[in-house]
This record gives sequence, structure tokens and C-alpha cells, in this order.
Amino acid sequence: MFKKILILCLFFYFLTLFQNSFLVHFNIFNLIPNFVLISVVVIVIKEKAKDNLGFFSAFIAGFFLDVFSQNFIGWNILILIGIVIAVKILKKYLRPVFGLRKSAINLILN
Amino acid sequence: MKAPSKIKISIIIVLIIAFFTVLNLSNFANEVKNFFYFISAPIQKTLWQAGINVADFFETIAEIRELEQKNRELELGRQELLARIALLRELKKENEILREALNIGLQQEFELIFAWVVSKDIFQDSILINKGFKHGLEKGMSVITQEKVLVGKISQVYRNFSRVILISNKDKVFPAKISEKDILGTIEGRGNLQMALGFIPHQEQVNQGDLIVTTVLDRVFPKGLLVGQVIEIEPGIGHFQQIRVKPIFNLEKIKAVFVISQ
Repeated sequence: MFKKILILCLFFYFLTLFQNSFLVHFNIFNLIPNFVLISVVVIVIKEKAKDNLGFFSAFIAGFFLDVFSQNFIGWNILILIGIVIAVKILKKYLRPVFGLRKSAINLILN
Repeated sequence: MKAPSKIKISIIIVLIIAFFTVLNLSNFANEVKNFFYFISAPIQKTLWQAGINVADFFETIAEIRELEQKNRELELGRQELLARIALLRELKKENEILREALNIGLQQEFELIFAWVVSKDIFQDSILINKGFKHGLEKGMSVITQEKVLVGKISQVYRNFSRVILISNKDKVFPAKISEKDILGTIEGRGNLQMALGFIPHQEQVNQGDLIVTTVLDRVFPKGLLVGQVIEIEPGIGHFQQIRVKPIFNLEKIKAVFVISQ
């Protein structure tokens, strides 16, 4: 777990730097894709329901976003944690639907 | 089990909020930010520069069409300016020639029309000038240079151009005299920018380098215009000497002429 957290720290640190220093030059209609947010959402979607990696990701990613922004530290952390909770809830309600569809496809193919 | 779990989560959230509130209220948050800025500065600088370079590259690609258009516009502007410069140079030259002509006093003696030489036909001993009947030119008018040297006579007049037959043309014959000696003869064009002075008796003393001018006898050309210079004298057959004359004007260098309108 510690190793995972360390990798997440390094990953989000460099991703935040990349986003704030490199990607800012490629704004389209004054919009820049938030890859940190996308990464957190992907991690939450991919993780198992019982895992807490999404929360750690949200905390670390939010922390680095706050450090490299004008916001006070904690602002993005709270937002990302809120998003993680929302995604987890959505996953909880949508899983049976997707699971059913997957089973139906498997049945047809077999 | 659910109720304690919810309370636990709520407590954790409240604690986190409290922690960050305290963190931000104290100066410690600034210290944390400063630390990360310090260790990230080299990477940030590199990434920032790389971002600028890559963005510039893509921006240039995106602006290629616009640049092409701008380039075309600039090229057109440049050509227009070059044309203006050329025109101004022409005007400057014209001005210089006119000043020279004024210094000689040509304008006082004759009524002149300035013209540029457009083309030269050495084989037919003729030139084309850029003034025609629109500018008051007529067939038969004399053409001279600013140095008062006779060039020829207008043979054809168009609207904007005129053809001038040079005095060295084969068809040209007109009376002339050797300047300061009053020896009368006739200038005969031999073609290819060569002339001969005819009807000069053997007893007359003619030297190389003698200048030949038009005479009052000639109704075609005004008197006193420089025609040519004696370059070779041969005894000849019969009563007259054979004298070769070269024109004073240099056809290669001649760029502008004056047409004597009156």
C-alpha cells in the first residue's frame, strides 16, 4: 500500500507540473483538459468497490493541485474527494445494470 | 454498523477541514507551497519552455496559410515600392537631363519635347521613342541629344511612340559643313552607324577630328547642330575626296532625346 501511495505521489506531482507548466500553452477556447481529475476518476472507476485508492488519489492529487494554484490548500482535495464519493455511488448503482448487459452479451455469444 | 461508519467518516471530514483551515490560516501553508515551488522550479522551467516551443510550432503550422497570405501581400507591396523607386529614378534622370539641356541653352534656342528611347534597331539605324502625336510630335521633326548633337529625324509617328531614323541611315542625305572651315558637303548615311562626307574637292584641307555641323542650307535640320567627326580621309576617285565620318552620339549610351518641335 505504501508503495502504491508513493507511486501515486510521484505520478500526481509530475502530472500536476505537466498540466500547469506545459499544457497551459495549449488552451483551446481558454479551456485546458484537467488530466489530474481525469486520472482520479479513472482510478476510482478501475478500483474495486472496497478499495480506498480513489480517496488517496483524490487527496494527493488535490493537494498538488492546491500547491500549484492560487487556492488555499484543501480546496481541490475536498472537491476531488467529493467527486470520488459521487463516482463510487454511481458505480454502486450502475454496476448491476452493466453487469446484466455483460452477462446477456456473453449468453448471446456463447 | 452503518451509523458508526457514517459518524466516523463525518468526523474524518470535519477533522480534515479543520486541519486545512488551521493550515491556511497560519503561515505554514505558504511555507509548504514555497517548498514545492523551490524543488519544482527547474522542472517547471523546462516544461514551461518546452510548452512554449511546442505551442509555437503548432501555432506556426496553424498560421501557415495566414503567413502565406501576408507574404503575398508584402511581396505585392514590395513590388509596388520597387516600381515607385524605378519611376522616381526615371524622373531623377529626366530632371538631370533637362537641367543639362537648360545649361546648354537648348530650351532658349528651340522648343523641345523630351522623350525616352524605348528601343534601338542598330541594323536599320533607327530608334523608338516614347512620345507620339498625342504629345505633339510630327513626321520630319529633328531629334537631338541634350548636348546639341543631331540624332535623326522622325520617320513614323504613332499615338504614343515615334520611330526616329538616324542620320547614319542609308537613305539619309543632307547638306553639312566642316565647322570653322566653312567647307560645304553632304552627309550620306552608309548604314550600321557609319557616314561619309561627300562632295569635298581635293583642294580642300580636311583633317581627322574635324567636326561636322548642319548648315543653314538644310531646310530639314536647324543649323549648328553637331553631326559627326572626321575619322578617315582617302583621295578617292574623281574630283572629290572620300571622307569617313562617325556620328557624335553614342547609340549605346543614348537614353533620352529631345525632339525639336519648332
